[in-house]
Amino acid sequence: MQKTEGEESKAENEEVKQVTLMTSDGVKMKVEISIVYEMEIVRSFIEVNDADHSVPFPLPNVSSHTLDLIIELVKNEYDDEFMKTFSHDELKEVLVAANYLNMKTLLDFIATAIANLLEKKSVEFIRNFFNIVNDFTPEEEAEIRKTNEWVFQDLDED
Amino acid sequence: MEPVFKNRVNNTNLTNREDKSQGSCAGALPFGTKRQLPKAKIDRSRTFRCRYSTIPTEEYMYKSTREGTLSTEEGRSLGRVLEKGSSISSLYVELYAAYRILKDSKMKRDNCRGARTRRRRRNRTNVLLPLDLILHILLRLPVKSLARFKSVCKSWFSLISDSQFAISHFELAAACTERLVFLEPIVPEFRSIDLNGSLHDPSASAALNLNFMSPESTYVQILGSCRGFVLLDCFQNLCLWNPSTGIHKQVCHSPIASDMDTMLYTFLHGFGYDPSTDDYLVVQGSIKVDLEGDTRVEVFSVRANAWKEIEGIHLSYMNCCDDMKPGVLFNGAIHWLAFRYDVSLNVIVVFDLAERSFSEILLPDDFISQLDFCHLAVFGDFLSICVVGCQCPADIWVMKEYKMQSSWTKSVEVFVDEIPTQQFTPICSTKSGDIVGTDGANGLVKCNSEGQPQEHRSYCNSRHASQVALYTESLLSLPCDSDQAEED
Repeated sequence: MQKTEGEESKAENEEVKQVTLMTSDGVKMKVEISIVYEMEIVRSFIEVNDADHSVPFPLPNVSSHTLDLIIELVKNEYDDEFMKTFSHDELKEVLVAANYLNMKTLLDFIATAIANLLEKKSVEFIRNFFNIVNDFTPEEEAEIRKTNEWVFQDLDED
Repeated sequence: MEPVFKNRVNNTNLTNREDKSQGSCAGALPFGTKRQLPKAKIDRSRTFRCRYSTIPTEEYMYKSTREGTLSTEEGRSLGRVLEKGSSISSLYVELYAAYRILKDSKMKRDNCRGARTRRRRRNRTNVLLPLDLILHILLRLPVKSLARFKSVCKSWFSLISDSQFAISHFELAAACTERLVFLEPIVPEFRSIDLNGSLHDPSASAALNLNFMSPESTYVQILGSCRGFVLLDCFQNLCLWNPSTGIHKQVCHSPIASDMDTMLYTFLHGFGYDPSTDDYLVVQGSIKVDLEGDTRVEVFSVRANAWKEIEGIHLSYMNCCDDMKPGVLFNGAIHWLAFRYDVSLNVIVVFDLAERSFSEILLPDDFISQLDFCHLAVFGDFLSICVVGCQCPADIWVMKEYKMQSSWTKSVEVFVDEIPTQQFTPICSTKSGDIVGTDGANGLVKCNSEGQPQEHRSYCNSRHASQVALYTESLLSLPCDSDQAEED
């Protein structure tokens, strides 16, 4: 909490420049310009147009909840511990949003995080995670597994 | 840090928040969900063609958004254009947002009517990721996971088997992991060993499938490793083998080396990759046993599937010890320890794979060890000379600046007293800086960065010593000109 208070007093003293973003669910959020500048899609627009920052910039593909998570991630300099509190859907939503907002560092960070999560998971877990229907016949699947049995050893429990 | 995270939702300065539920708002469907929409016809007089699609004109957009008459199809095509990051006017961005809000509120109204059924469906639907984002994730997974995920579904199977995917995966260094291929003699049996965890971790070592090798191949030697491929001498022929995928290719012995009459002794063996031609090369140097002739060098191109002698080179090298040691790949070149007989000097011979030419590196000035007990390796990011420890400490010298003789530095000594065999042959360092080597027999030893042995594990009982080589896990396949011709 101390950190937050510190930031608030800083905001009062120096009047940190903020940009208003409007999320897909119609929420207007004031975001520090340093964070906004990581979003290439917004940055390029602001730089070209030197727009009035009080007019909300619409982000029709990002929900307010996802934007909250992204802001916290950037504020905490991509903290692993914080990200571990995310649900699977939150991880995927942040990935989609990072891609849409063209945030390269965040996209890389979150894709790596998801890869780490999935690394030792079973095939069944992966199908659930990505909502994929298995279109192999049981015979075909057994055949594929047989060619490389050792990769099915030593997995996390789902 | 903790308190900030716990209140992460309430901390942010939101206004106008209505919906505190997890995930996206009640109105919007989760990302990626395919929504069936009635196809509305776009009036051509009110639209124009931009780079990506046909979108409504600014004027029409402005009017229709205000009046709420913009069709879903028109809204969607505009959304697509914005998504591509096209630099169309700022008015569109605002209009699109207005359109979305209008639509969301409409959907919220609709939602209330069928709230119960819809909510049940929402809880069941996961967020669906588009294929390009799934690709982002897959490219960051290690080969072992990808080999397993081939059985997820048919489209993943073809994606992961794709050669372009393999190249992208290999080039994104984050996903690449090094393992040790461990060859038990005589049997022969291969293991793949992960050196980053504990050697005693049962999952760190796995037996590899060797179905391509004929049962008579009792004499097998590891000659090199490059980009996931290991070069094996299987006596009757050479074999290129990717232990991660099982892909393998037999290569016949070179014409010179297999010609018994010429009395040539092959003392340089190497394997590498030439990015300028996207080709894997097997390099072999032979010397006439009577010492009157030059060294002859042959190169096998995997792409051309043929051996070729390099003409016009006059080298005066011979093997510096009885055991033939495989060349070490570093910085786009293969390196060997050799004896230069015209000036009676031990040197490192360098073969540049792109230039196909030789050069030399001098050993450290104060280097006095006998080369019989030395071999080259790569430690950290440096070319290194390792001196085997046998009842005395093992030494590792690193060349801090490539091809700069004065930069040779003795980096670490490994003490062998606690190792059962009293022997240590350095191989490599792990991600965490530990030093791994063999015990001179059939076991591995792991030492900390100060050279203190921490772990020892023996893998088999045999009178003959095992062979080891590092390889990078990859999904790569071998280039082949005839395949390309078919594609073209």
